[in-house]
Amino acid sequence: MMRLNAFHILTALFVTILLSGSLPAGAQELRFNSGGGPITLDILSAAAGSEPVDATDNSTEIYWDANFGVPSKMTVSTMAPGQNFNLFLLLSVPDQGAAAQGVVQPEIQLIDGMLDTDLMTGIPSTLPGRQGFGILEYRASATVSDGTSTELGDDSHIVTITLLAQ
Amino acid sequence: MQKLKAAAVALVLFAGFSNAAMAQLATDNHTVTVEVAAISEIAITGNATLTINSATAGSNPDNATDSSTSYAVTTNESGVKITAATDVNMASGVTLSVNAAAPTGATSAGATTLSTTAADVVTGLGGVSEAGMSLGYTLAATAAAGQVASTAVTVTYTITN
Amino acid sequence: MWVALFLMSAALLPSRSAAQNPPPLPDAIGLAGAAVSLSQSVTVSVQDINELAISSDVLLTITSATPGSGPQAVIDGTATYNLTTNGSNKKIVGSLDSNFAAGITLKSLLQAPGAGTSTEQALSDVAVDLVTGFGQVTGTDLTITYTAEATIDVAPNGSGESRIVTLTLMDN
Repeated sequence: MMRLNAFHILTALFVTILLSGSLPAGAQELRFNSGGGPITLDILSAAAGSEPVDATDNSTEIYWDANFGVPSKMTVSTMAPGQNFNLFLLLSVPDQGAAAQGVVQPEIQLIDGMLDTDLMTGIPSTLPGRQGFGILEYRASATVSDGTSTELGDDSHIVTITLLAQ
Repeated sequence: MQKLKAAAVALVLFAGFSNAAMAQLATDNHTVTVEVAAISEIAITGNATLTINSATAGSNPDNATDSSTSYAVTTNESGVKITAATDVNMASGVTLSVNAAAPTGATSAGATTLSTTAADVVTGLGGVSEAGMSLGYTLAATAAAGQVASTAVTVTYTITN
Repeated sequence: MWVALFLMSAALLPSRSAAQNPPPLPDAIGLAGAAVSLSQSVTVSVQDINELAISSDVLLTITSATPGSGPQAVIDGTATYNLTTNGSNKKIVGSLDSNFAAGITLKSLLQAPGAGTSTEQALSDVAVDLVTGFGQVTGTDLTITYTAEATIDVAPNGSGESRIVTLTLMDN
């Protein structure tokens, strides 16, 4: 029978670790937990004498795991060439108990070509606070002076949410 | 072919109705009521002065006349009349009368003796608005009436049924 | 022996939970540990919006005249309307459900919204332009001024004649 030495033991351990794939620095994650497909906000009514009623959409939920090893944040930006109407985004985090820690920023106006703007800051690097769920609350708004899609066409946004080290 | 024609006609008719419907973007309504009340108005212009100061020997004093005053009337009622009355009766032997010209469609009663009892001076008014109708006053006195001090007499004209 | 060592090592190492390592999704883009992003297509569409609302009913009573002249017209400015349109080049027309009796005329003058042009018009069962040339505007408590006239031929009509006045917002 072969005698085991330190080399053998270390090699076995190394191989085991490689096979299990559980490296200490795990992947950060940002994904759609529900929704996430194309959405349309349709502004279509007003009370006589008042501006049009805003359209809202709360159908998209995201999940994040800010496993950066340092505090992190989420930002938002958009591309919407020829934008005519107003679009706003608020990250709503209904449950900020042990998980989903961080500072949710006020509602942000999405403007074509904007710089990445903070959506949530101060996400801790440790569990359970670095993980969480949140709703993307979109709000579209237009005044009568903004015109209509009949005359100007719809606004088409590509909204990008980014999770990164702060 | 007949089916095709019918379909084409139906299509044109449908397009016409759709265009008419689309033209009305928003609409609302409310009720407006116009009420016309009974209206009767009369106004007198001017005052009259009548002085009896002459006679032909052997006859009663000459009448005094005055046609300087006039009246305006508006009424939307039908079958109304104008009456006239004085605030005081004339002295014995003295008579005051008025001949009120009638507006279009009405009838003047001619020279009418005035007293404190209202007397018809114009009848058959209806749906009329006119101005400038003359009021011709006549003052008569018998010799027996003697000399009568100057007296102010108010004549009131009333539109009534 | 090697197998035993392997099995022992695997048993000692912590296993991942589903929450820590859920299945990857095609729209999650890993950027070499620096940042991760999601993108979503969002369309904002604004429909043509046109709304008009009138406040209240109106009663006009013709009660007087200057002697020698016809009945005096009566004016009422108590009714108002609210308006919203996000389109361009609009107008408002007005009409009656049926005409008044002969000799009665109802005129309407609307306070114009925005840059519109207002014209006083006699109303009938044929629609007439009351305000023209406005768009992309809201207006609240805009006055509706009615003038009722009657000729001397119109007899007293008791509790009056009622008509439905309709205001319609249309393309100019």
